[in-house]
Amino acid sequence: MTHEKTEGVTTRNTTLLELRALIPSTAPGSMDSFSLPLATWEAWAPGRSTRQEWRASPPEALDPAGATADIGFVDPMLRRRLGPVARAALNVAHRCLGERTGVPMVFASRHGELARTLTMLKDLAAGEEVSPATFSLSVHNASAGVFSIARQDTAPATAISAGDETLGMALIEALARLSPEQPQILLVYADAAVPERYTQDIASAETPHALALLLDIRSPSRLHVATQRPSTVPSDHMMGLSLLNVLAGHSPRETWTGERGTWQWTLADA
Amino acid sequence: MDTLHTEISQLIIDTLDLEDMTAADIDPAAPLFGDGLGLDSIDALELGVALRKRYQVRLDGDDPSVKRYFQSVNTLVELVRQRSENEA
Repeated sequence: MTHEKTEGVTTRNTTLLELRALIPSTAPGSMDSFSLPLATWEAWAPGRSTRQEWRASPPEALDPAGATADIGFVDPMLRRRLGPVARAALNVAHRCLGERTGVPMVFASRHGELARTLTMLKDLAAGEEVSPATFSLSVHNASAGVFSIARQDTAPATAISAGDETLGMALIEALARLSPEQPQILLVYADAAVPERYTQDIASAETPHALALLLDIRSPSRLHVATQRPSTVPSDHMMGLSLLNVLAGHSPRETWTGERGTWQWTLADA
Repeated sequence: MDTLHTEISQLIIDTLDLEDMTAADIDPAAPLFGDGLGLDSIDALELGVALRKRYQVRLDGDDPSVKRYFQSVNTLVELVRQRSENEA
């Protein structure tokens, strides 16, 4: 595990195996489970942002392109360079946190600003100079850093990525950090449309969406999470949309399968 | 303002994603960084790359005169004129 400190933001490049090690090991076929105290949540996708909109219909046919998320709370000079992932992440993080300050955060994204990364790779391949602004905002902890500057909030943040299970691993990261000394954690997940150059390498259809969960050990509401080795063929939709189906009340229990595991969510009062 | 002033103001707007601004909005004598236009250190790097690409102006970060040239649109115009005269 490596840590890199920049402006109060810690990037943790955690491998899947290291995160897997956090879950107690069990025999193949058996389930590991944990529960998280959920205080509130917010989500965004092109065309829907309020909880009412998410509750109105299941997130089945989300617009793959569509508008970018509104982040009017960020100063225009800071906002101008932000890409679609940062905009979606900041939108849900700000709405979920409201007036609260000092809440530690977990920022998660499978791809980050992949369109920017691709632009830089093309520039490098062509022997061109790489744009400093593009580089600075393509790094995985960029959204956390900009959020911290925009809200003048120095709460610690980690940034994680773990393939198609990124959101699930962010839940485990949040679980590991919740404690009586750190009773609240804001989990923020966001991904944007994948550039066409990469679509053939990705199994599931990817649609832009973002999700923020405020976890608070004093909350009576519980998000139960169970994982096991893959028990079905991989799901044709993203993990976040599966979780949103449960959060928005469209389904009491959802099961999602990725390349490495099957995950199951349910909501309950403790 | 002559053509080069407008051209450099437009270069700043395009390079630095200054939303809803036109070349006429930038006071050529106003500071680019801090209180004036409000640009930051990443903008300075980005602008350096753009000037190099467009005008082949080579900038050395250790050269104290660079800071003076990055004061305003007027001083950047001065920089581009001076360097192109040197090469002519």
